[in-house]
Amino acid sequence: MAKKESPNQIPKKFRKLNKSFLDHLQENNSSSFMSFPKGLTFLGKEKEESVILIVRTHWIMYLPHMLAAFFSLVLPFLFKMVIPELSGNISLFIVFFILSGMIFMTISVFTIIKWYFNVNIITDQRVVDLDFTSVLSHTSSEARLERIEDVTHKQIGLLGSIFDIGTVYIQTAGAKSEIEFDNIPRPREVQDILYDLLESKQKGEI
Amino acid sequence: MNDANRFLDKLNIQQVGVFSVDLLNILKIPLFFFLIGNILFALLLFLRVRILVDTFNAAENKMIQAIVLGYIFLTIIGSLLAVLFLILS
Repeated sequence: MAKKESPNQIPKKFRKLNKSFLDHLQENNSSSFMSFPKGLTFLGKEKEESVILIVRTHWIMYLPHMLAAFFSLVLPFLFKMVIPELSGNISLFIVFFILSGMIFMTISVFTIIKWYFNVNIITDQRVVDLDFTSVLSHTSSEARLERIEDVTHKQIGLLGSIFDIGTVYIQTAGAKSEIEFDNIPRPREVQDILYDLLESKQKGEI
Repeated sequence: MNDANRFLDKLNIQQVGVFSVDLLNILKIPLFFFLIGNILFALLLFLRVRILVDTFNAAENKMIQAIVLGYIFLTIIGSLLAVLFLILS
């Protein structure tokens, strides 16, 4: 998940802009911070709209899930210690072993899906926040750039300092006023990218 | 006399049972429920991913769908095996 990738080429329409956000986008990319992704579309994307950046929650935030998954592999042995009768019943022990494997698989797959679909998209027209909360629900919020009023980022805690993780709050006009990019990498740069895009949008450059 | 005693010992004496419950047999019931729940979860995850793939379409979507399909397949195979061993135990 944290594999560093070389950034994709900046499209022509952005190259003429003399903005600092282009420098951030040219720095190393990862699957959690990818600039100008190729072949990416989303529901409602217009033909001439360009996806500038996709950001996902930093992989370190899913470490507790992965630890829980690995802990599940130890469960049959713990059960064997707690219930001594289990030692004499090989078939039941195998059942416990299969079940722990299934718990491991369930947590791992769910974590991968959660990481992949908790995605925030910044285009030259809008920001989109897709949240995958559970198997029964997901939320999708979007705001057009011209409706954004303020962008704030908050970086707290030890993990935030070590891995440069934070949450970006996007304040928009209207009743439902805030979009959150939770625990994303490089939040200061995302804030700068958004500010530069808002400025360019106001000037009619994009 | 000894022969007679030995013969009496070999007789199958049925104990009039006090109500006793085997702990391992009780454990099997929640295991069945867990298996059913896990299959249901896998199917719901598949349906959710099918919706999300339409909402957000990237190059890696095919890989994610393959992971979910593999997960469902392994869940069903694992559940069948677990039921088989539960019956055998």
